Amino acid sequence: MKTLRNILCLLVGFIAVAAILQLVLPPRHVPTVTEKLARYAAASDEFDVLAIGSSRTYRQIIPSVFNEATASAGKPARLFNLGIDGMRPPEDTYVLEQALALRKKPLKLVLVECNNIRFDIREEDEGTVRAVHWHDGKRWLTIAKLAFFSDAKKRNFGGRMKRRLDAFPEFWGHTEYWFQKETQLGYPSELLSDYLFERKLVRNPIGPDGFKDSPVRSALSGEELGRYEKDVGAMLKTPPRFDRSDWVSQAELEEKRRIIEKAGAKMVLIVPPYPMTKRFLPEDAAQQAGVLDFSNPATYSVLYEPKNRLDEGHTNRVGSEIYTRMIVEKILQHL
Amino acid sequence: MTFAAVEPAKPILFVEFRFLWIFALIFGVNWMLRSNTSRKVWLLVCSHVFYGCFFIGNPFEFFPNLFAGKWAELPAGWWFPSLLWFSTIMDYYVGVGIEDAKDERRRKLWVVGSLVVNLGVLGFFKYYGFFDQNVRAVFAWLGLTPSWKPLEVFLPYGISFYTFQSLSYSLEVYRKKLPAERNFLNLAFFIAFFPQVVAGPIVRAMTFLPQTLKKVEWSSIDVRGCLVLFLIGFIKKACIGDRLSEVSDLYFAAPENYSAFSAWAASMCYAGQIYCDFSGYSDMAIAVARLLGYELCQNFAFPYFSASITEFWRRWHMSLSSWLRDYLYISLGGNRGSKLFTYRNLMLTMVLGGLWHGASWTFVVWGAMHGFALIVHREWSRVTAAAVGIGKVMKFIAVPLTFFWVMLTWVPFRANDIYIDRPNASDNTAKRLVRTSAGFQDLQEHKLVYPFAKPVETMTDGRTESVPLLTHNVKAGTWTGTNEKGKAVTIQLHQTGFELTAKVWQSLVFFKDHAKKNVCGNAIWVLLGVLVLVHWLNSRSYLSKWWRTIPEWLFSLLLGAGWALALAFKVVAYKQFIYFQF
Repeated sequence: MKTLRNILCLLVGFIAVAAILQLVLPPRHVPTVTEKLARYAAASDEFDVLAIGSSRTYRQIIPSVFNEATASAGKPARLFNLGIDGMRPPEDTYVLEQALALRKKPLKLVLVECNNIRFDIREEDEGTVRAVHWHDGKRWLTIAKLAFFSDAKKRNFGGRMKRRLDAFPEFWGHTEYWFQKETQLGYPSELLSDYLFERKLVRNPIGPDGFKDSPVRSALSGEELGRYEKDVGAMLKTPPRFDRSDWVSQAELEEKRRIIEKAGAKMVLIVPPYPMTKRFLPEDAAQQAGVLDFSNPATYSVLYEPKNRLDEGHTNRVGSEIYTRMIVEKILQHL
Repeated sequence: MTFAAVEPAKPILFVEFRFLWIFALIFGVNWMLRSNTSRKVWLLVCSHVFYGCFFIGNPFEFFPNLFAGKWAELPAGWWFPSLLWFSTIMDYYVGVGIEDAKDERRRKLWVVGSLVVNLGVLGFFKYYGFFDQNVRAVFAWLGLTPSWKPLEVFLPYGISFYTFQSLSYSLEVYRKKLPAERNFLNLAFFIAFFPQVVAGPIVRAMTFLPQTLKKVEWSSIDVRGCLVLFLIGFIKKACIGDRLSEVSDLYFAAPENYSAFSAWAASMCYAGQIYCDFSGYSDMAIAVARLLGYELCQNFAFPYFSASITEFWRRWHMSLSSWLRDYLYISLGGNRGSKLFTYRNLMLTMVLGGLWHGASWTFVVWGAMHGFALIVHREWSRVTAAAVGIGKVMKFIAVPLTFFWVMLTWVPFRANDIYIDRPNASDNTAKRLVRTSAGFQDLQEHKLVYPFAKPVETMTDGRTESVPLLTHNVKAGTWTGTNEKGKAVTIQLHQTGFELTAKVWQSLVFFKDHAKKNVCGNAIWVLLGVLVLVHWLNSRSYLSKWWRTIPEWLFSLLLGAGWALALAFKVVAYKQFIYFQF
């Protein structure tokens, strides 16, 4: 009994200090994410539409083009680009929640890049604040569900166990990030280091509408072009198949819809144009019909033309302008 | 195989999250077991598994690669845990052999055999590379090219520690201070006990073996003391040492870019770092061992408050200094001879002590500086013994003077040879590198950027072989070849450890600014001041007792709060203990 009481006291002391640290410390600076949210917070009353997703949103949906196209169509709307390189669920849901909490006027639309949950942490993010910032309890639970319960309906017990065992190291990594976020692990130490070295925070230059052009590079050529043409050729022969992924990713999509609708807006899902063999879509047929799906190179050939590509996965400035206008055409009805 | 293609695995650190779970399992099972023998068997198995984990890395990758014959994919030195068994088995038979020997000659043969084999193994792994490098340099100077191929030898973690530990057993049995241990389990447990196997304290057989004979009751464990000691060790290593290392790492990578102020700040930070790192490890090791029912010896006693270099060596790395005194200095004749003879022994002991730390001339210099200081102090004490006035003056300057000397000696101890990857680059963007056993590591990011070799699957049977990437040109002092992606690379020695040492000493002693830039802001002095104050208060026992008198619930509450703060101030990046490399 005494041991139990002591353990309880230990936990109380630990949690109390961790909670105080959460309260008194300034939020961590997450490159790009912090800048985007700050930009949005500063002028959220100017925007009616949010676009959220990975670099295929960040670099490909151009707010100025969007604003101009909606205005010339007689339905003026202003877009804020909340896309961030490498951002996929559940990180995007976390960032979306933050952004929605900052809005000062109701949004009309939220354009969401349609992706399933990324279970692994990108190599370049490992050990960085970018990997830590979104690991709150809710997201950790989502990851836990994906690791251990996403295949509950499948019958093969051995296979299920093996998959869970394989998933454990990655899940453990997420758990450490969650612990790091909740306990502010190492954060005051980093602040102390910044103070000792008199480091100034370097902020990413981001436009007031959240957009930043892709870095300039030469057009697709050589081996890269060959690979790209081969992939697009394969897509023309066999269009990317529908991928339900897993129920946790579907639930995450639903959760996103719920919070967007709760904020008084409408969610529009987008499948961006890039070489793929399968595309993640909502399970519900009615919802599937509403998705802006650019995954067909036959229908959207202009987006797949090598001259409009920055690299295999992204459009260049010209391609992005065309892509943005195409999106506007399809969503005018919702504005 | 000349070069291993895969870096040695990352050792488990006491400050890592994973250690908590590993220890919880070891601790829980240990105290659930009833008999002393079963506890020792359990701890022996755990110790070898723990030590094995230092070499095999991720078991989910290691064993499939091992069974598939992908040798080049295995971490360098994966078979080193067997050396620990080898050392144990040999010393078991040496101990019994010495005791059963019928005459003095045979006893001597046994102990010499133990010395030759133990020190031979240690010497090969630790000094082969050093020897080879120096012979090649001499050959190059003579215009000759050695016909033998380079052999990259990796140093097994902890070999210096457990070799000295097992040697202490053979030597004590030989000196008839300890009976031979006929229970193999006890001896194997003593040598492999996991808290101290990798970085000490170097526990004597005389201290530890008697503890293996009696069963420890949980009620006799000072849990409160252990928990506080572990937390203190954690804070020393993870919060202070690793944070201070940021300053010293930055400065020692390029002292020519910084001011004299930086040299002082960085050298003091390094002094703080090495103390916090090593004494923090020792504190945690002692606490962990105590929680399992075993007592290790004390390793540090506020060494930076020493008033002489002699006192410093009674307070710094006490388990090593006493080992060197008892088994080396005394064996060399100690002070049983002329003054010159004593000083020769002192110097030899310290130089060999320096070499024990690492196979490099900079460690020899470090040892010689300490040997020199010990001799000077002896002479000084003799000359000034009768002079009362000098004693009063010395009272005020002795501690700072000793610290200053120790700080100067840390410079060659810390100095590495620095390489750059683009010797002809004029834009100052060449990467600064340091040579490790697996290749060249970036000094800023602490990542292996140019490995010596890479694993390649053979065309015939799909097995993996190690293919060299870089070749050493001794004459030109360069390494040429390709990086992992096939891009041509030339790496050149930019600055030797001695050149670096000279630069830092110029700044420390003559306040020479190599450049105007400071390595960090003035706030570092405030931080160092606070650390010195806390350390001083602790040395005066102001902080060491109050927590023993408070009620249990309050202690637990404060411990929880202390852990939350310690974690908040922890440096997140993985930073190995400095003494793991020795």
